Amino acid sequence: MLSLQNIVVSRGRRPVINALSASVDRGDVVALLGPNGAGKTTLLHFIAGVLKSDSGDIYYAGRKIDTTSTDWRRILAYVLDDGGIIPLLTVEEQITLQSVLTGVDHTESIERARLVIDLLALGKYRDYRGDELSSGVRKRLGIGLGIVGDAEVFLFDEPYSSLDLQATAVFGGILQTLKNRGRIVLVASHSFPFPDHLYNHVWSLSAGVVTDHSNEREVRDRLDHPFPSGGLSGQSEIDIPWILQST
Amino acid sequence: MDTSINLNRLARKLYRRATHRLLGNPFLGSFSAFLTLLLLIRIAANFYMVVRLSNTNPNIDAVQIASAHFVFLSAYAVWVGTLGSCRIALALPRYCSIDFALHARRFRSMFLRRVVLFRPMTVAYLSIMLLTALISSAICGSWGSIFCRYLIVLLSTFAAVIVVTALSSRSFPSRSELQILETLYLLFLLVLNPDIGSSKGVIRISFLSGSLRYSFSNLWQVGSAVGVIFILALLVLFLLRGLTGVRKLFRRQISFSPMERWYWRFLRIRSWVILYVIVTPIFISSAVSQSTKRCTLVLSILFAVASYLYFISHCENTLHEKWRCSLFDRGNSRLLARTILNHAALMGIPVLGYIVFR
Repeated sequence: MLSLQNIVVSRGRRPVINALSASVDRGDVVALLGPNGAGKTTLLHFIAGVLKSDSGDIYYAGRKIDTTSTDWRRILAYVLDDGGIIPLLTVEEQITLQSVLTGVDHTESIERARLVIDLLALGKYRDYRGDELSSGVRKRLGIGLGIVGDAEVFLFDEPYSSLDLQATAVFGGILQTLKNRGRIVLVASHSFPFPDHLYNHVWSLSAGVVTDHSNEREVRDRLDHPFPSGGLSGQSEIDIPWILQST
Repeated sequence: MDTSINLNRLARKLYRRATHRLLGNPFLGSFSAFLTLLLLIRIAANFYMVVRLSNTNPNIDAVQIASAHFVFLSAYAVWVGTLGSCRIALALPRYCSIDFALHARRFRSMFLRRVVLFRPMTVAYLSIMLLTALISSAICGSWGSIFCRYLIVLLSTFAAVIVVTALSSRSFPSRSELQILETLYLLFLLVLNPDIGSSKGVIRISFLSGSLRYSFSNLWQVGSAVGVIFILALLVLFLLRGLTGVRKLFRRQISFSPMERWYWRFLRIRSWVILYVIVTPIFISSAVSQSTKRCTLVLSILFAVASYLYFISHCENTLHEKWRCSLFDRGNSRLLARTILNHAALMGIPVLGYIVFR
């Protein structure tokens, strides 16, 4: 279980997250809503250890977490808004590097890179360098970099922007897999193109405070559905062999 | 599980790709490459001259000249090498996916170590410096003092790297800012022609082929001078940042006519800055004759006229090709007037410089 308690995070002198408290369980997929500047990225940055809090603590599995510690990095995957890619490495090199850096051996990393490239239809761009990719392909690569390791907590910042229909559907399948296999997933976005039953929680951020709307039908109905009825409703699980069932 | 071998391979690949000069601003990259070539040609020619003269004329102080070149080259290696390392270090963005992986720090430090250890003293720089030292030693036989300088330069290089890294930890200069600093330094070497040497226990630094001279009686003064130069370089960096901010503000507040926008896009301010950097030392120097100054002014005016004509012909061709109209159609004179005024104002600066310093 991941629990945030009385978190206050400031950017400069302005507190962006104000006494935020919330918690999620294994297998939860959280839809994090909020207008521009509401603090969605700030919250994800804090959980990922990029920003420090002014006060408050974060707990995982009952233990207090230092977000900059090696232990936390071992179980965390963070997909940045811009994909977080390295401009001068090729798609294949980046995925392999990411896998190696998460502690997977080289041979296994190459195999994982191959699978991720196939899964996200990046085969055509295998030898393209990061600075040669379009924003949509960068986003796909970013998602690939996030799932290449076997993390327990996944953070996705604006994953749907720039994605085409096919990639969005694949990402839906990835979310379903992570949910079914007991991972904790936080997705910050303006729009959520999947049926609301994919998300166990719907959090909205406003004035630095999170409100849990999980049981409010009218808020859930506000999640966007840009696809024809039933288009992406039956998201089936995608097999990612290294992401095993949580115990 | 040992992943270091593969991480090393990827760090090496990233490093090699990042060393390419044209990765940043292509104009600045090619311009600084050209300036480096000029610098090397000049140094090679000077060496050739020194060796020949010292063989025929025993009064020529070959040690002094060779030592000056040695320091000259070392300074080049220190500055350009340090800036180059900062530019290469930017190949790994401040926050990217790998930073959230378990062994991120290991890879980052592996890459930065490679940059810091290999870049400032690449094989090329080391060879040039070593060759200079060897030639100097062969001419005069004073190995000790030459290698002492060599050691000092090596140490100061690493000190410079540490200072730059520490200073840039909060606000890292952008790739083009680093390229501008590199280019300015090369222009400084080529145009101001600095020289350094010691005479009767006093360290002397001269600029513009000896027309401006400064003496330092002890090492502390030299150290202070180096510190001032370093601070000045940083000031240039901040000035560049300030100017960028002012330019953005300026663009927001002042409305340009379409022709003016075209003008600023086509004839960028940097071409004028380069012209100013080249002509200013010539105008200021007392060692340069009046006729040379006049020639420089005439060449500047020619540059201004030619660049404006080039701009006009480009506009005329584009208008004719795309819209079948002419720049000189009735009603366009007011649009043209503002670009002419802009151009005249920019040209006024060298003219003013000539009048003041002649």
